[in-house]
Amino acid sequence: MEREKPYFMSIDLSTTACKVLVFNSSGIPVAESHQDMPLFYPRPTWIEADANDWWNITVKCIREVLDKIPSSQIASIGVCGLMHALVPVDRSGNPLDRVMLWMDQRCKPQCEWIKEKTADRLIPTYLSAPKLKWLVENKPDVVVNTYKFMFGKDFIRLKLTGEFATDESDAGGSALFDSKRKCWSDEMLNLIGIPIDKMLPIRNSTDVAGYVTESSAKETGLKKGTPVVIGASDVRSTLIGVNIYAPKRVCLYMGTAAWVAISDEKGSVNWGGATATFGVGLRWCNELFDNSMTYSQMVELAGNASPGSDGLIFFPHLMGERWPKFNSYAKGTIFGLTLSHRKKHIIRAILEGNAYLIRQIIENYGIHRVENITATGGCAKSKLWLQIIADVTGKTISVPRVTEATALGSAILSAIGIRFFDSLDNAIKEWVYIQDFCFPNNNVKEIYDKAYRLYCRIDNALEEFYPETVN
Amino acid sequence: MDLLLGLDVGTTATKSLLIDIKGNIIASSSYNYSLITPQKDFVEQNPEDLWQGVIATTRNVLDHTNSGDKILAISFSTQGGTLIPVDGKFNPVYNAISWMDHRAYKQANEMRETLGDEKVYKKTGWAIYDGLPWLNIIWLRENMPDVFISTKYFMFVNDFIIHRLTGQMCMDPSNAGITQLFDIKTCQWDKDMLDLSGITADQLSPVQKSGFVVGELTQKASAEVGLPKETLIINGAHDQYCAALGSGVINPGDVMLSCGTAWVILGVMDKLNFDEKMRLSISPHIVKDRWGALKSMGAVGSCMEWFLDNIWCRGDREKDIYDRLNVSASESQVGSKGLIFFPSSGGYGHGTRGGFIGLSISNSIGDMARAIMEGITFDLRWTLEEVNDAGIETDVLRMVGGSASSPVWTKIVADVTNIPVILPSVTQSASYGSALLAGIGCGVFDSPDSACQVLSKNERFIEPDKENVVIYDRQFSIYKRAFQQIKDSLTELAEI
Repeated sequence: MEREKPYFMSIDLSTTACKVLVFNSSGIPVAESHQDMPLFYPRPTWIEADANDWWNITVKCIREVLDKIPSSQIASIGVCGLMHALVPVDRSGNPLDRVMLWMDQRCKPQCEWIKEKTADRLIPTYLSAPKLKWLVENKPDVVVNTYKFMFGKDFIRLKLTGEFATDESDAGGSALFDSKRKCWSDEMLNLIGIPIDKMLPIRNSTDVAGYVTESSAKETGLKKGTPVVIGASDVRSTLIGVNIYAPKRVCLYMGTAAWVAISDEKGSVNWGGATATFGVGLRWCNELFDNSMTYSQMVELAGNASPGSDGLIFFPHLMGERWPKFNSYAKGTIFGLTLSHRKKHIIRAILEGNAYLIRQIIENYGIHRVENITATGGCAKSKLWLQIIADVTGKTISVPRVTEATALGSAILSAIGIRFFDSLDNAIKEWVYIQDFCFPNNNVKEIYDKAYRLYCRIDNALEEFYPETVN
Repeated sequence: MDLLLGLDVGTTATKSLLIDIKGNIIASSSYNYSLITPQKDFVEQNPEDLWQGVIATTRNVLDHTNSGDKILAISFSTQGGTLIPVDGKFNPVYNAISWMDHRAYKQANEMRETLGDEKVYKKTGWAIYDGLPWLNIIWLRENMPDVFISTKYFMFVNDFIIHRLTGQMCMDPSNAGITQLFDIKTCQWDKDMLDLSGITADQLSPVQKSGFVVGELTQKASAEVGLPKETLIINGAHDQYCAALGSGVINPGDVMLSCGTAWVILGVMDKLNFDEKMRLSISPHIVKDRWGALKSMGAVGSCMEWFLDNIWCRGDREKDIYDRLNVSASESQVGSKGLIFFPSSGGYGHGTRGGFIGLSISNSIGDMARAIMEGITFDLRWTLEEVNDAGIETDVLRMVGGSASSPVWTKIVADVTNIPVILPSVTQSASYGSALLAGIGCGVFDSPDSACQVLSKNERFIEPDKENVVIYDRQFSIYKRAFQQIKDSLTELAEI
């Protein structure tokens, strides 16, 4: 009898949701589950998650896909997750506090303080260091009782295997990592007052970290002893999943947040820019509408509004901006409202506003240096949104065979971990390629060029007012 | 029991209100009619609808009277600036041309160029505006000469209704001013303005003061409205001035804030002063030796209706929606967590584009609802600055209309403007004012002051809260500066 072909499970813990996908041996997703994550807004600019929700929702998602693919056929598990946010846990892995998410902005004063102490360093609020500093100042007892500070994916892996570990890609986003020596920075940890033994050991992303324990097997339905690899941050996983390491690639990730990564002639990666609110803007809008629609209903409705949303422009800075415009005080704006605007215009304006911001990022890099854009992430499934981005930027959008590039990247790492592939190059060659294109429509170029110019002008004009609107 | 009847003949409805001579409300009634919009810029209504409204709402309140009751007098609060051309038998020869009509925009532009705004303003109290009768008469002469020629009398709502009831022709000063055919200094129809429109003073009703006793009902009218012939008909006034009387706005320093679809500010002056910048429309008040200065903010109130229709989507549109809106807005905080709304229609100096600035992921529907209340109120404060600059004192705001019943919004008005707000106990201030005017005319009250004595019961007084004033000062400053920064871009948005 032929040996059963292996399947690879990928757990993607993002800021707003958990996704679990199972890929077959050709790198095609065959089962998928998705659950939204509750977010907490205890005060303006504070945004938290509960790590117990992370685990409980992950368990639900795992159970859902195991209804389709038997646990015995899962050859290995990869984990990836949101960056920067740290959950303090005790020796048994129990969370000691809620998690300050990366877009939480309470640590502005700590950023200023760190900037002063370290002279020329740029310390934005989303990094881990100022958040830990806030914790040291405001909840010292939590810090004292913490055994380890864990990133999202590491917490999930701990729950599955009992192993404490992280990787370079997550450590590197903390501002507590010495990238030259490839280890935790004593200097930074001393500065903010965190003992180094409270940080996780750093291991290779493709290492098998451990195996599903008996108790977690019971809880999740996974098979005891299934290998779980170290994995990487969601950003690193995505970059692998779209093969950014090929030369001259422009990758647009469209998820909760969005970012643009660009590789040069030699295939080394530069950041084009990032925005905190992308998909989450739609979610916010749906909450305004009392969650009366599904996302696909929202997008369908937006398709009924004309390009330019009848003069309505949305500025998507619902959680500040980080790059290329660095303004943690930036806020969202919607302008151009008349009494004849309807829901469809508002939703379309949100899609378009994000596209204007993407165009700004591309123009900042050099619009003529970009030939086409590879789009991935959950929002890349929306044909309308892709079309709007193609129309606004005037660039062809390439869509990979698997738009869930994050999960794909993490599946690749897990497949390498159990030697299904012998190298990253070979894995990418077999699993990652472009399948579809979305071309810009010249008929709407004029409208979008005009709207984009207004977007930039109003955006600049309002910038100075945002810090004043802080209550 | 002796009773007084006030009739408010408005743009979309006629409302009647019956009170006793102590000011207690006995009954009220309402009769709706529609506007006719045959083509772009045309807004008309059927004059017979107005008359039917008078008959129906009068008869309706009579059903609530007892055998010993006697209606002493009737007076009128009427929409101003609506033209009714009639023939020699006082039958309309054309629909009423509403003050909301814009057909005469070319004539308006011509007059602005040849005659100049200032000349018209300093004579009539109203700057050149294409909805008003003077220009509409010129339009008829130029575009419908047959209608113009067959018109014997050019009437307006007050004199049209009074003629139907008494057979007499009688017009009042506040309604005459808004026709732009009237000199408010001499209180006479103005020969220059008449000459420009090509008509003569004998084609218009003689002007008497508001509260003048016109006479008794004709036999025919008595039968139609169901009232005895000897019921006194008292000359009425422009609805904004009746609302002012009905909310106690009769002395300098009193300012009425009327918050319906449109928000209107009406201040009181003891001298006839014109605003050099022509921002305020001036008319003689109902009260002797008082003038009113009126400023409309445009249809800012419709922003909240838009929000409820398009964004709110929480439960039934009809069922206690305003209560739920208020609860939601009160769950936000002063300053709506930094969110600032700019009204999308009318408002201070800007066109038709509005928006929200300062949105954050943690903003809820309640923050938006409250921001809309605050944003419209920032626009009010800006308008009040202009009104004060034009010489109108504002010691207190007497707030009437739909938004005056919102406990959240009325507090916001006091805190944003830093002016105490008084909420009159009677909400139907225009019809109530016309009922008081009936009482003044027939001698039940010896003056507007004594008529207003019946009002002071159960008024609610809202003081500004110092801490909130500081927060709103800061936000208002952002509101003004941000608007000035982007206003040029806003006109370009309309081209997308």
